[in-house]
Amino acid sequence: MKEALLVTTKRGDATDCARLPPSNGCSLGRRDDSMPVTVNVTSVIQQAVNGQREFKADGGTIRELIDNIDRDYPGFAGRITDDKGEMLRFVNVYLNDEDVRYLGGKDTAIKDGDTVSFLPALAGGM
Amino acid sequence: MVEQPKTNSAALSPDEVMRYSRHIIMGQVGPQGQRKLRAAKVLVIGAGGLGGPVALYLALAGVGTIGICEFDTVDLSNLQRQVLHQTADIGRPKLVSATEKIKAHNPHVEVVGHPMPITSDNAMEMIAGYDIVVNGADNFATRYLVNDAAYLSGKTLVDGAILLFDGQATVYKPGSGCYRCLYPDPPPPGLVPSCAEAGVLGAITGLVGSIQATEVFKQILGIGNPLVNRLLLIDALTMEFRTMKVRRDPSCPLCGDNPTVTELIDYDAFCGSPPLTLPDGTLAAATH
Repeated sequence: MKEALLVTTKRGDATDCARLPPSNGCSLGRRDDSMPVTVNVTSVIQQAVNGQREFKADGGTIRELIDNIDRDYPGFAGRITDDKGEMLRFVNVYLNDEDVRYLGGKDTAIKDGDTVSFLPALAGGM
Repeated sequence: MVEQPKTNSAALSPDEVMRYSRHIIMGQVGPQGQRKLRAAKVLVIGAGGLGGPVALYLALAGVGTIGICEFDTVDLSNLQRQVLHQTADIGRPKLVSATEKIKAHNPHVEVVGHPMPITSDNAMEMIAGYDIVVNGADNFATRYLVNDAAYLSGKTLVDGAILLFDGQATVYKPGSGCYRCLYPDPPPPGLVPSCAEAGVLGAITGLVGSIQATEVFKQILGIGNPLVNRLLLIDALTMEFRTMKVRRDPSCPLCGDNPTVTELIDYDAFCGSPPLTLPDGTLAAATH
């Protein structure tokens, strides 16, 4: 059980960070400015993360990162993985500039300062 | 059948020298490079958002033979972004409209029209007459078809895609990875919206199309560092450009170590997409 992280809201109340909506800049049990990983998404996935193109999140592996983001934005994982939790083959996940399929897939380790990008295929041309 | 252009060795005419002087004056091009451009044969799939600016810049630069595969007609909603077509062209075949504009810009270039969808039945023959293929298709079935046909034909494919404020571009050289290496499977129909469904910034078609045209020039001239094994991502909202690595996947069914796709397949079935509807309302056996 993750220990609740108490933060101060705009009204000055102490509250459990994990209970706050992401728009409060507080997620995954840590304040937003302490999140070590930068997450990039393209337009297709943007809707699933409250319209953000880039945001901070936490996770020691790609799997943890996806789970943590999904906790904040329910439905996010469904854009990246199938019913069995396997990564969809038309959505690429990059750790910095490398496709994680050529690293460790969902078990690829992430370190502070990394950027993870979620990039579904695009077909538009007309 | 693609007409043979002037030979690479024929001298440039005074008109050509003047017209292309801003290219010729550059050391990376020169008269020899300009003759290479004139001798080059490039097939552009689509004469819409991406194909339009690609074909236009290829023509302006004097690429001698430009093939255009396009079966659609001009619609009012195209005119927010498709630079080759104008208000008076609404209802006319895009291929006719595009050819007129290209020839008006540069009468020296040959435009070869392919007024039909590219399909598994005609793709290999269509591509055979060209050196380079440029993808401006607007659906996954055609993208996988063009990828497979270009690879099986041994041709370089200059790829680009757009949606909303996003753009992508890369170059696939046979043996250096392909679209299937990047995206092994297409998304289920309806999951990734089209430009018609989600919208697209008009100007990003020019941005990505210009990048594709630039990559074609580099391929023809043999200069620079091509976008091979790199996927360029453009976010027009932040105006950030990033590149991701593209690798040849040894397990790729097309270009991997043990390929299972050795000829063109039924791409509508592969993508779960319905066949294309032609302007006259009939269904094309579009991609199979």
